Amino acid sequence: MTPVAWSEPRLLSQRDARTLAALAEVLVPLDAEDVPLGRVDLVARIERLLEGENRVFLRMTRLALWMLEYSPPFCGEGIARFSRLAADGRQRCVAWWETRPSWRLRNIYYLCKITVLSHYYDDEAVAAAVGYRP
Amino acid sequence: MLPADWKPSRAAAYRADRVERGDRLQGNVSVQCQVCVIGTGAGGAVAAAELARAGLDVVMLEEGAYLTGEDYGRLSPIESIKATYRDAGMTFTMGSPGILMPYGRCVGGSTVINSGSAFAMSEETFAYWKRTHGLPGLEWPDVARHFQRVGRTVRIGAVPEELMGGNGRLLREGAEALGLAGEVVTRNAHGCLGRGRCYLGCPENAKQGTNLNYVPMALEAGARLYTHCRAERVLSEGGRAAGVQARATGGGARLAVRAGAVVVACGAVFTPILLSESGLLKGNRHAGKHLRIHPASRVIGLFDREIKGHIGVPQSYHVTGLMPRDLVPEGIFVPPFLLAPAVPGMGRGHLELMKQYPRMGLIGYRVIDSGEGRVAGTVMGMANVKYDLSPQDTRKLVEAMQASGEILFAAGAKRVWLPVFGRGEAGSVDELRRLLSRPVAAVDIELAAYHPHGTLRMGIDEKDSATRPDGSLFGVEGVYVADASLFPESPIVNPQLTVMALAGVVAERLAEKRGLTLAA
Repeated sequence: MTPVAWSEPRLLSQRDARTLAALAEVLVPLDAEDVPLGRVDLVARIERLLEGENRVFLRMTRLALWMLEYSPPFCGEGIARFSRLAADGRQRCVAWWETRPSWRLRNIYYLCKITVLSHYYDDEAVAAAVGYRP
Repeated sequence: MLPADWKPSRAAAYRADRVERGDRLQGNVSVQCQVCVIGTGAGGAVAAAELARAGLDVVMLEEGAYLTGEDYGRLSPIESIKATYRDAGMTFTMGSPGILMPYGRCVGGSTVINSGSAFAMSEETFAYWKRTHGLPGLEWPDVARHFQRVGRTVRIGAVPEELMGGNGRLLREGAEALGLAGEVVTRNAHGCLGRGRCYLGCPENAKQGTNLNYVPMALEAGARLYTHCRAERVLSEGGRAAGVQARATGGGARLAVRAGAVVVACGAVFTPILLSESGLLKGNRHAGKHLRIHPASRVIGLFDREIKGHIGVPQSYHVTGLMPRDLVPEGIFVPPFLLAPAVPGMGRGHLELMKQYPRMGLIGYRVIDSGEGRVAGTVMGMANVKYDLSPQDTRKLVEAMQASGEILFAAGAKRVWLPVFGRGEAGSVDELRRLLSRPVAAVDIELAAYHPHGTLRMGIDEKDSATRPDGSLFGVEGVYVADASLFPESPIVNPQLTVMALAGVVAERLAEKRGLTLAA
């Protein structure tokens, strides 16, 4: 289980939320001193974006997270799910996705990456912490 | 005209008696008018205002909301995107590769969310349009007159030095060091404070989107506006326009607009889709084809000094010296939430790089594409835009990428990140050239596009085109197009002003057919 405590998912599933949290922990350091990952409720933010939009985007997001969740066997990380891998296993898995020769596979991962990073850095405190002061 | 004490901040409340939200309609509604204009962006708003001021009874339909600076000031960046972009900005082309192509969906359309760059198409470019597509009845003096008319209304001026921002300055510095010609961008902004939020809706009402000028002018002249209404069908009877069938967003009430003329201005992707779904493009061989998009990408540079690119106008300078090669590097800058996915690394390493945000410089570039795509209806409610990047355009993009990287190094960048799979980072010009010396596959470049055009191009006849030079659609009387779909070729420059000028021409021709002239 992941140590972040976000909202209960309404549009995403519990599994999606776990995958999201596991990926977020790879992309953003949990102990980021300025704004810890756990304080930016990614599940709530992502659901606010997807709510009321074409259901295709919700399905695409869920499909991409599902593929990431069940990808460890293809990444050489055994049969465990992505969200249940240790931190270094998840990092290797992400590196595997980032280096796929197929642009379609890379884009699946890229959708997950954009989803996490853009919502994390949309937070006012996070943006200010990296020097964004409009 | 607008009253002398007009303030943009009053726009949303202005003539509230003539603005109605479709999602608050009580039951189905039927209205009658002389002209129904679909869309309130660069084309629709101009057409509606000119027609209403000429004395015609106009109804405007807009799928999005009527927002102004006060609203944008309250919203977070992603909330702004959700409020103003179609499908929350997640729209992309289907093809090789998929290209992010966002569209506006609010009163003002893409004029609310673009950078504000406003250039008139050159006479030389128009002459090329004439040579290649004839365009009988459309002459440069007419078009130039409408460019001037629009320019006065949207208050075009060059970006002042104090608002250029560090990113624009570094582009100028790098370009000058390499001997490349460039110029300060002209924009439709007035009272800009340089907060760098142009793409998210201007919180100061400084950028003069059509939500702040042409839409209020149309309302003042007696037009009615229905927001939150999506046009579903353009109706025709006996080969003539008969009106529009619309539905409130969220699937609520139906709105039937009876009109003798319909002006469609939903942009180069959604105008052909709407007309096709209305059954008005049967036998129109060029409809939906000839799509060009000005494919674009970016290069990020890391500097030792602070650039603070987020302060100032995000797109304030562009390089003109490479235009003969169809390449246009432009200084752009974006907030962290858009930049973060493009920064390499993960975890601690990524965060440390993101903390260099104030030291980053960003050059965007677009190319004038020679390849073509097409709009092929919808799939699961999304526009099905087929566009494959041609090998020639891929080479142009790589050339623009290299030029932009060299400009960043000339301005003092220590590292440059490229948007190409497997060619991530260069520490010097030599390394940059070496990385890009091997062929680059189109699918390996991260791409976006902001200027779709050409899908209902105007021309002499149906053998060559989908519309006449007065914007009227072949095959059905009284249906007009007033957006970038009309472009027979690229305008080379950012298309906003060309769309507005052509919409003015379309409105003038339509008014003349009714024995009316445009107001002074």
